[in-house]
Amino acid sequence: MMKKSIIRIAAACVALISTLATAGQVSPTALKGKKVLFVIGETEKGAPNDDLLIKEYLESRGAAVTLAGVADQASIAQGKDLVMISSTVNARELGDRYRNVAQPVVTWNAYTFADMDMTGKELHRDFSVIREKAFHNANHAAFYAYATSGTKPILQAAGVQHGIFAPLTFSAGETDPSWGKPSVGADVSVFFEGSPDKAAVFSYEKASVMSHNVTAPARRVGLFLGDNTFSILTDATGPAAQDPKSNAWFAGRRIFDAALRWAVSAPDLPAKRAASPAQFQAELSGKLKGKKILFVRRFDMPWPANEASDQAHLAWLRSMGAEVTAVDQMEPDSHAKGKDLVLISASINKYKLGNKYSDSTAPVIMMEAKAVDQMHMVGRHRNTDYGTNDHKASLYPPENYVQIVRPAHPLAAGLPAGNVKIFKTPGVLAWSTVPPGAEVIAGIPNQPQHGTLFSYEKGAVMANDHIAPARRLLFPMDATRFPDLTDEGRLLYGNAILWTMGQQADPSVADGDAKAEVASR
Amino acid sequence: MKAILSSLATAAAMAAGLSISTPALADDAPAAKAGSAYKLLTAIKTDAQGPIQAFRIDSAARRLFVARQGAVEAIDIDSGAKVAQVAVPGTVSAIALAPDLSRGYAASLTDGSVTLFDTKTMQIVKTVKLGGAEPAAIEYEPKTKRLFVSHQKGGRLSVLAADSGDSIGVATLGGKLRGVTADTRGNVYVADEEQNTLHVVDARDLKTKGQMATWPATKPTAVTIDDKERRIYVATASGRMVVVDPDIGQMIGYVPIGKGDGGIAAQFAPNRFVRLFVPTADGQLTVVQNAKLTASVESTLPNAGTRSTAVAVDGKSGKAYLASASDILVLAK
Repeated sequence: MMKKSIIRIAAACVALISTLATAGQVSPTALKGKKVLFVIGETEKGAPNDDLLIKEYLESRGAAVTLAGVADQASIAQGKDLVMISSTVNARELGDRYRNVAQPVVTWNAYTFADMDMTGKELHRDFSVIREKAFHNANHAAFYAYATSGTKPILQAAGVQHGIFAPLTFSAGETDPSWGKPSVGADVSVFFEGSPDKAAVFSYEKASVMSHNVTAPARRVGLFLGDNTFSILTDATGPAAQDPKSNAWFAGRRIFDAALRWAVSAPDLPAKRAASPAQFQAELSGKLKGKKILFVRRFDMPWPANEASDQAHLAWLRSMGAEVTAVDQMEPDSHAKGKDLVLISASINKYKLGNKYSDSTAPVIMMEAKAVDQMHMVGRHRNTDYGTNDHKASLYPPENYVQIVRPAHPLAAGLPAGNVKIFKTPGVLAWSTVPPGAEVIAGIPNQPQHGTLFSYEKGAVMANDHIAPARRLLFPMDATRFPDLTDEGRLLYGNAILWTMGQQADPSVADGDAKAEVASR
Repeated sequence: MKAILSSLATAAAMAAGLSISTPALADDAPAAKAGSAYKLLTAIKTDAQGPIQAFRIDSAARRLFVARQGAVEAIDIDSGAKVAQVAVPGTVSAIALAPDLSRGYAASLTDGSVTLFDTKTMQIVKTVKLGGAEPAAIEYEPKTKRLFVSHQKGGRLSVLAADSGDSIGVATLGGKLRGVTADTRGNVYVADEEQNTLHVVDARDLKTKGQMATWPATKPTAVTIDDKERRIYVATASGRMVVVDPDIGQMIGYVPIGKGDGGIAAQFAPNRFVRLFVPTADGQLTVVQNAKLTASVESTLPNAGTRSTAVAVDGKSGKAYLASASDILVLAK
């Protein structure tokens, strides 16, 4: 009897471990056995067209490829694991046919970026095709691209770190690469011309918010390929593959391959939301007990509301058993040594804090909207790279709602895509133009270009190519706002503390359908 | 002096068998351009000693060396007259030349040996047993003055001193090794028909430096290199000729060719690669041009009359030499 119990427990543990091991990972053989619908068109007679070569490539990777044309209905995608849309398709005739399909879609037809709400609608502003001639100066720009951060799932699957690289073979004739400007809910893995707004490889997790507040029905990937680009994607083999720098430089085909593998892999699923604030409080207490937290603030403030907020904040942390050390902003950042987490209250003054904690190897949650640049979390231009919604001469009014754009991220705490009231009253809320190395969990309603709750993984590339020494997170809680948090706000914040410290989130998924989907893949 | 068949009647009859046309391309292949017609200039009658397996040309010495069953023949390339013959045991699968050493080398597929001969006197210097079976291709690398012999059986690359024929070593690469070429940077490239790769071997220490994929073609059979532009051209038995950049190790272009094993020979103008001649086992000849450094089909001769993948180009005249059942076909524009 006891033996059977042990076996059952062991089996359950193995199942859990295997679920955790597969979550978010992309297998090198992910395409094997997958059914792919490849929507292709025709090019002008004699014009190069790599569609059949791509089909051949996928088949060499073990996928079963069915070709479809512009005359086929989207229902043909049923039962498939992936839909791919080539640049050779006439986008006017295709329209938004595959916009709502429940299968992952990878498209390198730039006009479908717009039709599928993966970008905005305006040519050359939201998406573009670079129509150039070989050896033309402008074309040379497309021979180089920039990988945003090795922490991005597609780059991780490709084994590519951040930095400039060569996606295309030089001197290989004409090609027409494209780019798109996705929403803040996307991951931008690669961009052209030094501008993250010209994304060459971008992706949406299932359920993430795309352009025009449309939720992604399944994973979506936008790629930069033109009709004949595939055959000239770089791909180091032989001696070059054994030189790490050459291998990283000639990575075009590996990224293409990784994008497809990521698309067909099991999507990340939303965490299970706590049943009640009390249950979450209890869970949080269990996980914070004994944790060493450094709380950085301004001592002896002349503003009672700020002082009251910090004191309530400290009391709340201590009530859950955390060992909290509060220090003044002018104290050296050596206080962070040995701590599990550094919380920087918005009561600090950016000028006095300086660049302390920016290189701390402890995880940091920043709450001061204006101090994000010195932490390398955003660029340096105030009111362009970062700013606030507030009542003082801001373009943006006081706000108490955020918009969850990436519900499958653990930081979303199980909250669905859409608007969430995190403060009881409108007030100061941080906004940022978030660099592509970060992941935006929440934006601000009606400010589609801004992120307000965003994070960096350890090792991610932050602004100005700084590497995150540990997890970094902006939680948009101004100096007076801790007592103003709603239950959802407190849920998001408490969850942010756990994630930033690297505490294992509850792996349970939100509903039975999601579980079934994992099992079927 | 052996007779040379060069009568107009015969030439016209053979030319009638040459359907020179623009290519019919595979749907997924780079577009071809209409090319100029290639003509059969003449057919050089040879002794009936089995099919011709390989050619090599010493353009400076005006000699065409022909690999036959049991022999290598030397032919005056300008007159078409047979000059001499060297007896080689078994089926000669490949020939290499070392002009700086006045040496020629003939690999015997069936005997597993290489015969060294003097290209001026056509006297045998030595016959060396390789210790591996079925040598398929042979390449002379002038910097190291070494011979690299690929074996299609056993996956060996035998290495000999070109002057003495002494064994220097063996690189065990595995697979089914076919064509061999070398660059001027100390790299030897060996086609592996079984693993669909080019092995890269250090010419000095014989260590492998990696494998380069021949995708989207499989079954590579013959290779040649444009060292200055850093391109390796790979004829395959999968209906495609692939261009590989040896620096990156990747395919940078491909063109459709005929079916079955492919041979390959490059024509160079002074300081510049001009075109490739790619005969295949199905009797087709594909001529590949290199406009703007991009390979494309210049002409396809579906019924070229060839019965072998043997091919060589005379750098001086630009004429291509191919093999029919018993004769040497001489083609030019």
